[in-house]
Amino acid sequence: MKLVSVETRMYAVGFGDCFLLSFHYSGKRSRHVLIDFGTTAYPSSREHEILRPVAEDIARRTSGKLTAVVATHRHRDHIGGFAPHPRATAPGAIIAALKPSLVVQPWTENPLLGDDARHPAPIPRAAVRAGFREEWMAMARNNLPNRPAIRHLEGLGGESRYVYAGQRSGLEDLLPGIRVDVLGPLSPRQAGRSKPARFWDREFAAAGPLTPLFPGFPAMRRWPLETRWLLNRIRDWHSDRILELTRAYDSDINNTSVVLAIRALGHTMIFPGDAETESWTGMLARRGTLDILRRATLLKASHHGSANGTPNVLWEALPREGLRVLLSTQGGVYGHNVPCANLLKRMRSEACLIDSRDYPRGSSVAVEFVAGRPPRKLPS
Amino acid sequence: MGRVQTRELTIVAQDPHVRVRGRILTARVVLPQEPLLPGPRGSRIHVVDYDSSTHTLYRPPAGLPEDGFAGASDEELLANPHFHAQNVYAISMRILKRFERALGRRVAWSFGGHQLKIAPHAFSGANACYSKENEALLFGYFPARRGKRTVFTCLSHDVVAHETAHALLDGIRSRYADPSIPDQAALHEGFADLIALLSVFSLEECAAVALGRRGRDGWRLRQSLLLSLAKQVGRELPGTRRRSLRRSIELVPSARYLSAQEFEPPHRRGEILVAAAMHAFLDVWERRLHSLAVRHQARAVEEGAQAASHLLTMAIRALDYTPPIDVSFGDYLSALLTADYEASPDDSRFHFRAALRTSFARFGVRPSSPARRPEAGVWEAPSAELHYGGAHFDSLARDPDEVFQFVWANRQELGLFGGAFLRVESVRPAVRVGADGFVVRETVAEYVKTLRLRADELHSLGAPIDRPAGMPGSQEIELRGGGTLIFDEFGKLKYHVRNPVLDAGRQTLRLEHLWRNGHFGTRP
Repeated sequence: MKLVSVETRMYAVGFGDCFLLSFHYSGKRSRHVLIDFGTTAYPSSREHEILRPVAEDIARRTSGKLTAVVATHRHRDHIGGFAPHPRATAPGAIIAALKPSLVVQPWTENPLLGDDARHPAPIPRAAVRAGFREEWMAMARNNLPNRPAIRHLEGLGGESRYVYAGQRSGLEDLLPGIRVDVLGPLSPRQAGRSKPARFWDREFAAAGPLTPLFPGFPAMRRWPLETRWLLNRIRDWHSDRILELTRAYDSDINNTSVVLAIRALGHTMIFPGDAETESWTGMLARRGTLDILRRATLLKASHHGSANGTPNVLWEALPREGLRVLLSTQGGVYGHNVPCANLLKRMRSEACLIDSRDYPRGSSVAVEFVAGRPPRKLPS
Repeated sequence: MGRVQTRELTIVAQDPHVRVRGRILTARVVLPQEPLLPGPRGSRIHVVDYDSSTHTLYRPPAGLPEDGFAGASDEELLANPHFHAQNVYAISMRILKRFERALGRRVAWSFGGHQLKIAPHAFSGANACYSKENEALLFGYFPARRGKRTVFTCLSHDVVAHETAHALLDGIRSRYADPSIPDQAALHEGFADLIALLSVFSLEECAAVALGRRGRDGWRLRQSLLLSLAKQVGRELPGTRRRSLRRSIELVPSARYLSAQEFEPPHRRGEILVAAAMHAFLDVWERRLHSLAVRHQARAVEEGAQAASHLLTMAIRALDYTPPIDVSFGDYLSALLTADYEASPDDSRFHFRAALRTSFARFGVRPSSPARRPEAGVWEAPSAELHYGGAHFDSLARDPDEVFQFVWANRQELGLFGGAFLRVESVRPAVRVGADGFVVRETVAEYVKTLRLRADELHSLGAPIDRPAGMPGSQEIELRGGGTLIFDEFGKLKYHVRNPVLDAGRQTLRLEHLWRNGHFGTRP
């Protein structure tokens, strides 16, 4: 079975990721890998509206069989679509029916990890014990973890692999003619971290109960005039601090992203999920990573085009000639800096940028890779 | 001159974790008797006991607060929010008064208002901070790892002193909070730690604990728990096995820290400064104990408290002798030496300057001043002949425009680059008692220079300032420099401490550091 071409398809799902890689072999045989399947929309029923036609298109293109699924990390905008649903027409159910033979996730999602595992938990357990503020819990539930999807992914495929840098992904065994390097995430040992706790871990864990500290001392119902300015400021400051901590946590989850370099037909495709600067710094310090990146012909822009997702050290390491950049994003969802205008300007002027926002919601755009030729964007 | 009335207030001398004969170590501190409203709310500090996590504003005790906590039980100290309010008020006021005494003037807060607000139970969390935008110090609280106790950061003398020092330093050198070379942010942290530690040791109650009954040698002194910063907070943080938040004294002297990646974060890098200064302090104290053959415990304690107090004054006064921008550890060392040289040319009692030079050198920090005379490391007096023709002495002591006119008239003699925008940011008096016992009045003025250009224009400046690798030529950048002018009581310039805008080494280091840390909007 000889590999003839590879087709990388990006679905315009708004603020989210969904990529279908189709490996076409001689004899009109094909195998398909789905990398992430999620979007962010409110209310969540809107997500189903966006993802259902995408799932149906994937089912059609794969003729009812997925070879593998890669869930880069647990954020809703990457794996929310995998969530189970009783209705067979729900996006998660459609994908589940494609029965992938392999599901690849970051090592941090391994359900067999013990309590002493040095990985970020969905919500710090100590924080739950300590009864941390409801407001943060609500934000955490809404924005960060995606437990039903994670659980569902555990049983979705014939085999589950939880990987970190340097490990075999298992994709090579299922896809003749390709080579896959797992560049990330790094394990704590690879990252040189001896302890799991970052400051915010401790701060969450250290947060106390919600009842007044000194019930025996009277509180003031009316704020004296001379204190109102300050009290309002402290309240706002506190909310900002919670948001900041949540973002820090969010970044750490991003840095658990599975980062794959898929090599086929003389091309190298980089799929980094939402890896951010901290993760890239660690990956680039590892032997061999730079050599792989220097040969890249396709980059999936990490973290929806944020500046942290493609730090300068990464961009400088990539070749310019023939490089295609796939950007799946939507403005105004993740603060005004995502996507980063300066970064996009560079990507557009120095490489060939394919931006999901240029395509109608639910549609897709594909790039074809064949041996000996530069990547080619297929007609929509 | 009116007689200054005082009031004594009880504080936690170090930390609820530090106990003597099973009880929390407390001290009584003497403060000016100012009119206080409930809070306490005085002329410079206003305590507001608001908890944003439970949305509770505690009612302060009615009437003028007096010290009702002398001899109070540990349980009451821990469980009474009125004592917590008194504790933060008294510790912050004490630090503020130390600054004002050392500098010989009122110290303004950087935010323009007159009263720093302090919230002793501002939020649930293991943290505390100085918040310039809120004009406040905010202290958190969190459950202890073991048992059902609550750890209050507002009861840690170290934490309160540290945050107050941040606020005061920001008032004196507001540019030190700007993104700059690694040393600058580290100096903010290290300075605050140093003030906290020396403030503790300058209390005789604490010096006695550090000395113990047999602690007359350097090794025992260096083992003292009091050299650890925020013991209770550090011990009780979940996920850690620390004995304290920081214990800089345990850094084995080495010049390698300065270039080690581990020592890039400000708190960690600041420990180099703290370790160098505290080693010098302990060397001085130890030498005093030996050379005087001190037999009485009380005298030994007094020597330690005095040495701490002397170094504390040096550390604060040094700020007037630092450049207003991009300060390095070497700059601060020269400032320390100069400040002390000016106040006490004769160093024969404590030999602090020699001890500091030696200790800092062991950590790889050399004075920025290359001068050998009048003493090694002290800033040099300006050598050029300056023009005083148009300057009015009286205005020079208070008017930024007058200082600007002086700088303008002497821009060549002062070696200022003409292409940058120059602004005199402050003119302040400094009063101190000179070596001869007479009052000396000086004027401290600071100017800042700013130059905005594109990265590809750097080469046109005539100084070898390197563009960081990967920075596009179109990147807008800002180069900054600045100087501190110290005029003597006759209006003559004594010192010109500066970081020139065309200092290629410093600017290259600054640009590289900022670029690498994402200060230009994109991460490298």
